[in-house]
Amino acid sequence: MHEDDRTEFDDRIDAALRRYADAALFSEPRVALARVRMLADQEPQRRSPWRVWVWAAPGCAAVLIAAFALWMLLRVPQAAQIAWTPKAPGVASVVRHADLQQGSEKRNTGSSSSLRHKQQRQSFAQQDNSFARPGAERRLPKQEVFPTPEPLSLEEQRLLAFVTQAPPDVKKQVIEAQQHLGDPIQIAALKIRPLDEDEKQIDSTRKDLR
Amino acid sequence: MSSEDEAAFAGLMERQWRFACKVAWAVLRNVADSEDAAQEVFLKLLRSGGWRDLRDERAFVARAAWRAAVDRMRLDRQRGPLPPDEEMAGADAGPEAVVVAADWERAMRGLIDSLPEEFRQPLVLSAEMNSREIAAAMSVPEGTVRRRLMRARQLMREKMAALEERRYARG
Repeated sequence: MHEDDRTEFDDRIDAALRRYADAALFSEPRVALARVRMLADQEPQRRSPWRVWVWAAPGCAAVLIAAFALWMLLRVPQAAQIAWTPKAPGVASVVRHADLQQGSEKRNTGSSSSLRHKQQRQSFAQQDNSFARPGAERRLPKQEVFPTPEPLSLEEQRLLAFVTQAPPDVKKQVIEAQQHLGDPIQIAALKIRPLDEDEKQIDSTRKDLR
Repeated sequence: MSSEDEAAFAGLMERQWRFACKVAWAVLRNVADSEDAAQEVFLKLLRSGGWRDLRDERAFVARAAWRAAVDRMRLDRQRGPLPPDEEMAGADAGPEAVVVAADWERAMRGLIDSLPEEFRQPLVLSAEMNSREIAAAMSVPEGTVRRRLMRARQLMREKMAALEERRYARG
């Protein structure tokens, strides 16, 4: 504002502005100084909030790295295992044969087919641990299973039952019969002795009865 | 803190305490709040030790006090502001009543208080600082400060003229 433009009112404004703040009764500087010093002594130096992160950040990073490493370990696929190794025939056959017998009894007594299937499923589940998936107990991680476990077919079950239950001489005969499947059939020569008197009477009586 | 430092800090407060209070009062218009804002400025200076390196302590104190006052005013707006000191502000009595009573000083205070904040603050600070110092304290361009000062005086002139017209019309 130019000095020429100033009016009496501007002078009044300036005078009022000088008194405007001067009229306020502020404390004396030494009183304020004592108060500031007292506050500075009372309150400890406030720690910078970033100082907390000096320890917190590496800690958080270590936890994250450990969690990631653990996750990677669990995630690595394990080598496929051959879960089902054929066992000696006698191990599972007892149960299976008993189940088969039980199934045949049920069939004879006229039980329903659904009950029969249910019992068969239960018996298959109990008979051999090799049918269970190796990772089923642990649930996770899921592992590959080779070969895929399946229950034995009816023919396999009968064959297994025969092998384990049949007497040795019968087995031997069957094996020998298998070896001579292509041979011609030989029938021994018949030797018939003549009838004696008693046999003739019996034979005649039979004819009379007819 | 050594005795020399204590003496130096006491000298700083002796020189700048009332100035800081006035700058804060230009914003807050309350003695207690203004002293709190000024106290906050010197407390921070004492804790940080930055008061030893001040090149222009008056400009620094003006800027720091103004910012502290503005921050406090924002908090007061959230919490509900303290009323201005009654003996200082003539707004309660009303400019018309003051003029009718021929109390020019109170009338001028009433007019100053009735100005919008953006004009009132630089106008009140102009009693202590020039426009460049006000601009530095308020962090606005110097031209803006000058424009607001002119506008503030113009508003006061218009209001005073209107009040005097009413006074003479009544009287």
